[in-house]
Formats: sequence, C-alpha cells, structure tokens
Amino acid sequence: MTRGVVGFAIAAVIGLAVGVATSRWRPLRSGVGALITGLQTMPSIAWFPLAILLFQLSEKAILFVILIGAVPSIANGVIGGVDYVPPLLIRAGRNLGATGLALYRHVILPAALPSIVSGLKQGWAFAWRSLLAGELIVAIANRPSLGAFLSNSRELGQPAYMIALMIAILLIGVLVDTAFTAVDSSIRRRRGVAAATS
Amino acid sequence: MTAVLPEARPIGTAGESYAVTLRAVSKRYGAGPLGLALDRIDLAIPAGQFLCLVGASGCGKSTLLNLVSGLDTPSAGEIGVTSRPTLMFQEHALLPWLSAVDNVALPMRLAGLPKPERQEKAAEYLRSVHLGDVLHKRPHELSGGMRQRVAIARTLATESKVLLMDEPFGALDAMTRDLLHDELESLWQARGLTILFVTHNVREAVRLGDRVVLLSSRPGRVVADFPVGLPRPRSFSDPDVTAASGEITAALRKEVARHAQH
Repeated sequence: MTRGVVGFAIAAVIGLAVGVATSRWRPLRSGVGALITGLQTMPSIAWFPLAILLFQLSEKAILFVILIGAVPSIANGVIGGVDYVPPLLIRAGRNLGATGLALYRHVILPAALPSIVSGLKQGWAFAWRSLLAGELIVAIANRPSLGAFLSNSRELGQPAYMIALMIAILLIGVLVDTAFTAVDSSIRRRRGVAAATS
Repeated sequence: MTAVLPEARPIGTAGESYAVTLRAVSKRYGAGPLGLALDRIDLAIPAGQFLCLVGASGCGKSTLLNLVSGLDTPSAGEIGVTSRPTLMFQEHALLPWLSAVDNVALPMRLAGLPKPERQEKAAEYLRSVHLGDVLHKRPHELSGGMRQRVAIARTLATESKVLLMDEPFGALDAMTRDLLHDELESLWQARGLTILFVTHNVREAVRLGDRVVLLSSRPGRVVADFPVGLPRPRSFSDPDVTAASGEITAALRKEVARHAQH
C-alpha cells in the first residue's frame, strides 16, 4: 500500500512534468506524444521481466513498473486538458499580462484541471494494478505486501483469508476512486458544470 | 499548443496627442487575394477619443484589435501605442474557477501586487460597475450582463488607458446593453480612457462614438470616417442618433453592395 502511494506520488510528479513539457514544446510533442500513447497500451505486467533484469527482485523493480504504467496516463491527462483550453481564455490571459509560466500557472493548468484529475484517476488505477501484479511476481523477503499475503494464503490453503484480502484490495480501489470522483465533482460544482443532482 | 510571448513593441511611439496610431498596416493570412485580411490601414486615435469601428462581418475588425493589442503582428506597416492596450471580448472570457473579485484581481496579481491590496482594489473596481454585492460569486452564478460588467472591471484593473472592445455587448439583451452603454460612457469620461470599440451595429457606434470609422471587407480598408458631434449623454433611441446612423448605414450598404458585385 505504501509502495502504491509512493509510486503513484512519484508518477504524478513525473507525469505532470512530462505532460506540461510535452504540451508546451512542439518538437517534444511530435517525438514523445505517440510514444506516450503507445506506452499506455502496453500491459504493465509485460515490463516485469525487464524490470527484474534491471533492478533484480527489489523495490525498484516494482516502482519501475508502477511508474511506467501510471506516468503515461497522467501525462496524457495533462496534454488532453491543455489541448482543450478555450483559446479565448489564453488570449485574455496573455492580454492581461500572463506570459510563459505565469500563463500556465494562472490560466492553462487551472483550465485543464478536470482533465488532469481524470488522468490522475486513471494513473492511480494503473499504479494499483501494476503494484499488485508486481507484488505477486517480485516477492521481497521480510517486507509485508498485499501480493505476498495473497500468494502465501493460496500456498498455505487459506482460501477464506485469500478472499478477504481480495475484498480488501477491491475496497481500497473503490475508496480511492470515490475520492477522485468527489474531487472531480467539486471542481465541476465550482465551475457551474455539475449536474443538478450531484 | 505553444505559448508565444507577446512581442515587445515600442511603447510611446504613438506621439504626444495620439494614443494609437496605425501606419499602412496590412495583415495577410495565406496567399491570394482572399488571404489579405487588412489592406494598408491608416488610423490615428487621439488620446481620450471613443472610436467605433463598423463593418460587415469578416471585414477584419477583430484582426485589427488583435494587432493593436499585440497578440498578433502585422504583415506590414507600423502600429504605435502609448500604453499596453487591454482587450475585451464578446464572450466574457472570465476564468470560471475564480470568483468575480479574483478575476478582477488577476491582472494585478500578474503584475505582482500583494494580495490584500489587490483584493481591495478589485472590490473597488467591481463597485464602480455596481457589482459590490456579488464579489465572491463565480461567473456561472452571474447573469450575462453582470459577467460583462466583471469583464469591464477586469479591463479597468489593468490600469491601461487604452481599451479595445470586440463587440462586448453583442450577446446582451437590449435593456442590459443600454445600461452598459451608459456605464461605459461614464467610466470613459471619468477615467480619460481611449476606446477602440468594434461593432457591427451602426446605431450602437453612433450612440457611443466620437467618431465612427467604416471598414470594407475582404480586404479590410478604411472607407469612411464620420465624426459624431452629437451632445452627450446620448441615448440609443435619440432621433439624432437615429438620423446619423441612417446616414452611415446608407454608406455601409453601398459598400456591401459594391463588394457583392465582385
């Protein structure tokens, strides 16, 4: 769980940075944009053999796979959001004196926030899946991990414990998703685009 | 998208008595005769003048404002301004995630003013457009007229002496528009602003302007320049306003017909 959160946090930072950089510099965009989308379609579990070659059976291997799963989604959220910022807001912002980074900070990124949040939400889902896959494959001695508990309970013939763990994993996923949805609907409410019932 | 920094342009080249000068300004988008949006525009706006620019749709009015504001650069010719002009659009262009007062405070925030000071000034600007009681409402909670008032307050907050307005009241109902005409007129007089106001509504131009300039379409050229000497305050339904706009409309119609023959 800690791994998941740490991995996701690092992925968020990298993803946001990559997203902003890619949306900002056209050459980078044409080079990296397709790569980002391509990475997204690659099942994260396919990265484990390489990760284990690079980092052996270690925390780093799991982290690597979490990052490679989550970063593209988050970066894509940023790029998509920036692309759809109304040009009028950008013209107005520039005319009011926002240039360069100030334009990003005060106009473009806040305008892209809904898409950024949905990218983060998707990124979390990828991170969480990669984490569990990683913990099932990469067992590290003496480190508690959901994946290790899961495979241990199977080997020791404790199906009840195993199912309980699965329910816990599902619940964590649902909880985090609910949190993201709450953030998203509060953003929409603030901007007057929320449905009347939410 | 790529962020392009507004070009540093010479400020102060407009001359003592002119706030804005355009010398043989052309703008071309692509090749061919239809690619020419503006053709050698010469225009000088004395400081403190309220100039209305009228033309059929597609005549390059908005292009002209973009050039004067510095968001776009002319293909040829020279533009001089005495202070950085501020734009206002037909759509309010307020940031939907900021309250009215934060929207108005934005230009001051960008200029580095400390928070208490800019909040106070922003509230002051909002009071000057009669919005003192909705400071913390977000744009979506305001009516169309109120949003345009917030937008006016925000242009004032840039402290610019030159306002460029692109059909700012085009989407409002007639009553709200009349009210905003009155308010804009008194702000202009009280603050000594220079306003370049684009509209396709001749009567609105006569109601507001010291001068009405007619632009032809494709390519945009200055075809007529009418001084409006009617006493202020005027009203949209004044007989004098009606008579003067009839005269200008006739000229405009001739211009449109001439182009239809081509």
